[in-house]
Amino acid sequence: MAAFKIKKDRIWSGVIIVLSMAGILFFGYKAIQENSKRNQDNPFEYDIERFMESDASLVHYSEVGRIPLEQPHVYGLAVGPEGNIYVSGDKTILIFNGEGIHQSTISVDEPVHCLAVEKNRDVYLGMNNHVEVYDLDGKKKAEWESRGEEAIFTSIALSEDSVFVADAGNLIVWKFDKSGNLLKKIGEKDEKKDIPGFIIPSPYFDVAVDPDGFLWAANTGRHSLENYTMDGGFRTSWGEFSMGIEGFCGCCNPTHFIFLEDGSFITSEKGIARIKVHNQLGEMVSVVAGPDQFVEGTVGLDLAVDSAQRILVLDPKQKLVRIFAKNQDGQ
Amino acid sequence: MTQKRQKKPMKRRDFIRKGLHTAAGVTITGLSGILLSKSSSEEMVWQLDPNICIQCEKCAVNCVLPLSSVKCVHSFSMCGYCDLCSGYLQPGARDRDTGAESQLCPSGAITRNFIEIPYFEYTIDEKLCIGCGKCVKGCASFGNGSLYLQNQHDRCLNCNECSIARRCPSQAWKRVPASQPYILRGDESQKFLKG
Repeated sequence: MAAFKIKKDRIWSGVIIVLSMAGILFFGYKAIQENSKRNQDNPFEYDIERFMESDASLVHYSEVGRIPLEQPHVYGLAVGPEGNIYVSGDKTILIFNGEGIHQSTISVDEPVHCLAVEKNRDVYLGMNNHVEVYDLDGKKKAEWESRGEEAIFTSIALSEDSVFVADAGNLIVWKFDKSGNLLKKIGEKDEKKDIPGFIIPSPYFDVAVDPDGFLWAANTGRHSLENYTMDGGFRTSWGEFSMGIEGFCGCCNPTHFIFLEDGSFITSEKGIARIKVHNQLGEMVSVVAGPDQFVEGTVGLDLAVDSAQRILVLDPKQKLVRIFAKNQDGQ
Repeated sequence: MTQKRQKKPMKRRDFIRKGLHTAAGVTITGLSGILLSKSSSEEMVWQLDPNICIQCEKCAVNCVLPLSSVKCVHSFSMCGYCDLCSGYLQPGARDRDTGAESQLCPSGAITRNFIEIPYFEYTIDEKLCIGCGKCVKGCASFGNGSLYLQNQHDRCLNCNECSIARRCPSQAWKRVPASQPYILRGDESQKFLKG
């Protein structure tokens, strides 16, 4: 009888131990699951993932080259008439040949936000509030008058006889002659002349001259590209807001644009980093690089086009000049 | 022949006396150190560096207070006063209005006021802000970063080991002098420095 009782006690002890173990395992597993769930779900997540996908059939370009830039910061990109690639950074202009081999460096006194290269290979540099001109040997030829404390120069474009400078601080485009004499202020709000005025919420404000010799400026706050005569008359504009691929996203885009020789626009955006081709009517025709080709937080994708119509992109986040060429089959 | 020196066992009284001397020495040295450090260094407080912050939204849930001491701050001097404010509107919002479905802020802490075409002013209601940084992320992604997070010292308990700082993935939290307790952006930073 006693032996039976001991056996019964042992059975009960075993059952209790097994149940305890099962309970510990069950609740432990639940707790771990709950905890991992808590770590994954973020109720306050800012989600723009759905806008980051781009239709692969629209991507008609491939990346064909990269030029690494050993600079703490890089700001501006230009291609010279000889095909050399110019990159501006902190107190430095780096010059590469078309194959990406470093040729020379020009040292300057302050960060260069933007630059343009003249036919005679003089380099026009946009500092914070004034322009400096250097020759190819790195010798300063001229330093133009400052446009005041409010000025933030963000882009330079050259025509046959004029220099256009976008000023994100004063919300205008300055027109100078090649000697630095101020000729005109372009784009000031004027209801009588139907000039809407520039809205530039962040310091990205680009200008370029199209193959027909007309001036274009990015009115980023209005998500549009605006066309002006050389005398500052407002001609036309195009562009619309859209988080989708067809328009310009966020509060203020496109940050940069440039022209292909057929007059098509290449545009770059921030927020959703992407580079697209729009035809002369402003219709989006293809994607050069989608958001998946840039790291998070990429802004300031300055653009240039070389004589082979390759698209050069300054990637300040990865410190690279990235070269994109149209696919052979055009697809 | 060498004679081994025998160690004399310590008497209880000697042991207590030596122990007391050691304890007194440690106490005096420690107190002196603390007093010296108090007199030579300024009081420090916790602050979030907006230039390092990655807007991970953890500040909202990791503070020991029921409502986080971290709040959104707006630099009016930097703000673009955009109609299409990416810190106020949901990405891809159908309308640019004050409808709840259009707003990004989960607690409706941002007020949008019309100024003139096409400008709008945005203000933060601190009482409603939970410090999630969702608006900050929107502003940083598409705008110019005029919205950013700061630890509010009228609420912060200044814990010795800040529970938000301990969990901050970007290590954006730092000790700053109590005389300059905020890391501000835009013109506001200059005004603050000038007092």
